[in-house]
Amino acid sequence: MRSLIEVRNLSFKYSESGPFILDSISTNIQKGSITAVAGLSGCGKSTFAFCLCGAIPKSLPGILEGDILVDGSDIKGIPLSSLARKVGIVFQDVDNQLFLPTVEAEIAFAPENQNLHYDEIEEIVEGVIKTLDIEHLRDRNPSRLSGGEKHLAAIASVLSLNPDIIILDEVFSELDQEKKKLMADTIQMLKKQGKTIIMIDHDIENLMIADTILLMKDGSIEDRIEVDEDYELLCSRLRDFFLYRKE
Amino acid sequence: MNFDPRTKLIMVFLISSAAVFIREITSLFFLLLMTMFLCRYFSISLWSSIRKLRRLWSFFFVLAFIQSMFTTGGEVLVRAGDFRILTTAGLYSGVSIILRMAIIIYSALIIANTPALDIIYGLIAMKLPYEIAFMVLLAMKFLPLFREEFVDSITAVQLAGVDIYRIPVKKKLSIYAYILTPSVIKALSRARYISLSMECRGFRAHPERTSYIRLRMGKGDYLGIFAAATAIFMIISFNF
Amino acid sequence: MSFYAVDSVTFSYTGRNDLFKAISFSLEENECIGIVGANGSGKTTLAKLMMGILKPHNGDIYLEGGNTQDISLSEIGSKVGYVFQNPDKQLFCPTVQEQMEFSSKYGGANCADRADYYLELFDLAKLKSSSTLELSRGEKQRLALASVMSRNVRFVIMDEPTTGLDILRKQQLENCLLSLREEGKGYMLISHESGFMSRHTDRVMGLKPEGVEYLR
Repeated sequence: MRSLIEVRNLSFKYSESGPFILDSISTNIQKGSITAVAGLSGCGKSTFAFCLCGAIPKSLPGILEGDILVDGSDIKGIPLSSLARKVGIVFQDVDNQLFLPTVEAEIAFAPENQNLHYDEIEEIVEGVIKTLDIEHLRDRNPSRLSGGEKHLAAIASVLSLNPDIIILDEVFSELDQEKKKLMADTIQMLKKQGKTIIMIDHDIENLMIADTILLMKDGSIEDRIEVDEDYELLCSRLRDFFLYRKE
Repeated sequence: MNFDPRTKLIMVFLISSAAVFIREITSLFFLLLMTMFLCRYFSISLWSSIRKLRRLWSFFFVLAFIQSMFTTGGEVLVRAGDFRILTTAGLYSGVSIILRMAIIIYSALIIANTPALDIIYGLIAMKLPYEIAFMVLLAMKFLPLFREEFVDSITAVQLAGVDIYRIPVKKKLSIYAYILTPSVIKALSRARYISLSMECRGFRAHPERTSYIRLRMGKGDYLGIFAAATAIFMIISFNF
Repeated sequence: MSFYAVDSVTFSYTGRNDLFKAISFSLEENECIGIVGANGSGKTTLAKLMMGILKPHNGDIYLEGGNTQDISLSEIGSKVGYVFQNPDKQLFCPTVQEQMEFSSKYGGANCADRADYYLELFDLAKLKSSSTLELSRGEKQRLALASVMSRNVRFVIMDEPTTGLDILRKQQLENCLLSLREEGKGYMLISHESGFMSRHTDRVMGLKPEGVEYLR
């Protein structure tokens, strides 16, 4: 496996005088792997995700230093809408992501933008609806869905984009047990298809499907864990990281 | 039958332009009848829309009343001493204002009762650049977004144990001022994230864009437009 | 008389399909109850109905014997604290400090001295003068919890309070729930986390289209 994303010395702050939200992060992410970014809330996980998809600094302002290379090329020079073919992101706050009047229209939005043929779009839409088992949501208005259902709709709208890299910002948090299982299976399936998944989460149980876990603290990556060790050992290691950071 | 959204857009365009140009009350009256008939045809309830727009109507009535007071000419109908309060010309212009507004509101209801996405795709099919059509969609979304944020804040204020309807006016105003800024910022920030979400899904990556909603102008559509145009033409020529 | 009495309540957003049919149950003031159900089964709707934000289509909900439809939102809010599922809906003040002081400033609630305690408890003390809009999702969630807890209400309804909380903060919330219990206050917990749920509730109700059933 080779690294698909390379992050070099990435630092970010909102303003010149403000504190560093991200503090010289350097890491790499392997192609076809599931990488989890974990850490306490407020440690900069979501900001990191917005950097990886190019939203920072192209659309959300701030001061960014360092480089992110996707497939060898620096994403600074790529327009956001073209980068979308490579990197898709599911926002943590899905209310900010969905804006069309039906779930089906949301799913069709990305392939429409790629100017695909009508029949291809139809095939993609049907495929995504089947994968996530959301036939019942097809004609519903996303703004009237429950929290968990909104997340499913948002994920569907990014899956139809068919990017190489998919960033999932806390998608498990509002799903019930059954949908959590479905989501974990979907992530595994995407991995089998060769997709690279970056998931942000802080629930130890959810982290277990990852191949690599990046532990973040106060804006930098503290530790990198390759998930091949013993389950119990890993759990206790993660628990230690989350709970005893204060000493 | 189900009309193509473009047909509706053209019909509404014809009706509202006619409403602006027609000067005769009888013609306006027939145009209003035709618009109401179309509303019924698209199963829009005439009464409930009148009730929903109560405040707007009273505003128009005040407007018409003022207009008729200040328009002079013709015979004097009501007089107070030396002042002519209402003349036939005044009455005439007051009534035509009401009729014109009614026509425009009812024809706008035809658009308002069509799903927003159909209208957007209709506009794109009529060669409006898709970037602009989606900007229209987002603009249409902003006010409801702001309203939603504000209403949510008012609910949250009350649930925090503050009876906003019973506290002194001064305090009440200060609460409104308090929550106004965050509501505006929240609505703006949501609009910004939505446009980010569009870009992150490849919006504007290609000069061309497929429409997943397929629109087709059938025989019925052309017939409908033709019928509407003929009817308007007849209404206009009726008075000449 | 029960603290909360839900009497054959039905509700529907569309006016056609009922989200659930004729739900009835009652809660005591010091009871700790959990609500579970699949995504979209109406858990949040039930909470909003109980807070008076939504009105039932049929049936009534009584709070201390009074019909919630006849009581103002602020009166319900002064007895029952509500932690919204989405903290963005709950936070309406420009800064963290102002959010914490709002109820005492405008509603006459006596919570100024408790505000600092809860800011400390939820690790928010250093963010006191920050803008509420710049907080991360997890920080917003903690602020929402802190502002409700500081108001000294008698019962708390929490809609997915663990969302966005990491293990450390979850533990802080757990301590907070324990102290609510010690004070003799009850709460209703909506959550998908079964472990969290079983540790902190006396009984659990499952919500389904055909009604509620006690699971424990």
